[in-house]
Amino acid sequence: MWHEPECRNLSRLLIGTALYPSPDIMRQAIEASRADVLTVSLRRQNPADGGGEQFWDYIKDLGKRILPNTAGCKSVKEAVTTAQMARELFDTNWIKLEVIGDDYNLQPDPIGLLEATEELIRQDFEVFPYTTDDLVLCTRLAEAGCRTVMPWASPIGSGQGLLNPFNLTMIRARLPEVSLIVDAGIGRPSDAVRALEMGYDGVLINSAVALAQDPVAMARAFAGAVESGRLAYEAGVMPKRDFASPSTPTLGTPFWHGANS
Amino acid sequence: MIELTLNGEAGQLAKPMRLDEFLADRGFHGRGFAVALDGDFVPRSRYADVTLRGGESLEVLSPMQGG
Repeated sequence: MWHEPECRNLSRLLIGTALYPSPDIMRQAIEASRADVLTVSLRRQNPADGGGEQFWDYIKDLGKRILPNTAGCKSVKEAVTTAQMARELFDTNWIKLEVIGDDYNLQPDPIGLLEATEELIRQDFEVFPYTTDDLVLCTRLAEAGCRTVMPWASPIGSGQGLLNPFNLTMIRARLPEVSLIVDAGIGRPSDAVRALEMGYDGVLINSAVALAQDPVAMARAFAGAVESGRLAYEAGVMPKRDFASPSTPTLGTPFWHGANS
Repeated sequence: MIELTLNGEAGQLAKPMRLDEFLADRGFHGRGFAVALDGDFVPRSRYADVTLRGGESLEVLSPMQGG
């Protein structure tokens, strides 16, 4: 995503709009996060209750880019149809593609995900696939035409952080040209720092902020985390050593009496 | 009477009805929703071309919070 000129300056934090204690806290948290991209969804709603228009007006007023999702879809057909509906409703060809293969841990169905991705790219969508941290699947998604791939850190809403850093590191190393966003499982700002330090281009969070005791303060913490992690990646982290190496110069050490004294 | 399903709930119509008229009748006004008919997306520009004749399943979705 950040490879495209118009997206170069977008925040590396993408944030969801669900689970906040109130709409006003959601708005404050989004502003504090400094995110430029918000995820939203589509659901059945009763027109007598406003039919989602109030929420949509609220989101539109924030002036952010919208990344609709296909949350809850379990088949290729459902996901493709939901994406088409989202394109009309939100007036964007961006879609966070979810094809869920397991109800218990909301793990993506890799086969359905790839199939739906190929179909949606044929229909000129910009597909942001939510995927497991499987290197080969991520590679196939990139080959299908995804410019951004979003492997999970751990199951959605679990807050367990980066359960398999090796897999994430390998995906980063093997797909240097693809924008990679860690989506799902981030629980604390240090998880975000770590993902960015590893060279991930961004993180997508929701529960980590919305379910914090103070969502607005936590949003601010995440804003700092992605900035810090990205700076660290660009700065280049020092290599690990097995033994201590003094940082204070040894020359002129006080009270030194020589090796044999 | 003809039967159809709207957002998972069974309903009835006295006679076949155009989709745009049906939606207005059920309170869906403005642009804050999108429609699928029997699992296929129906673009807004085609609402007036589609007639509900019974047995259809409609999904009418609106913006919602999401992660």
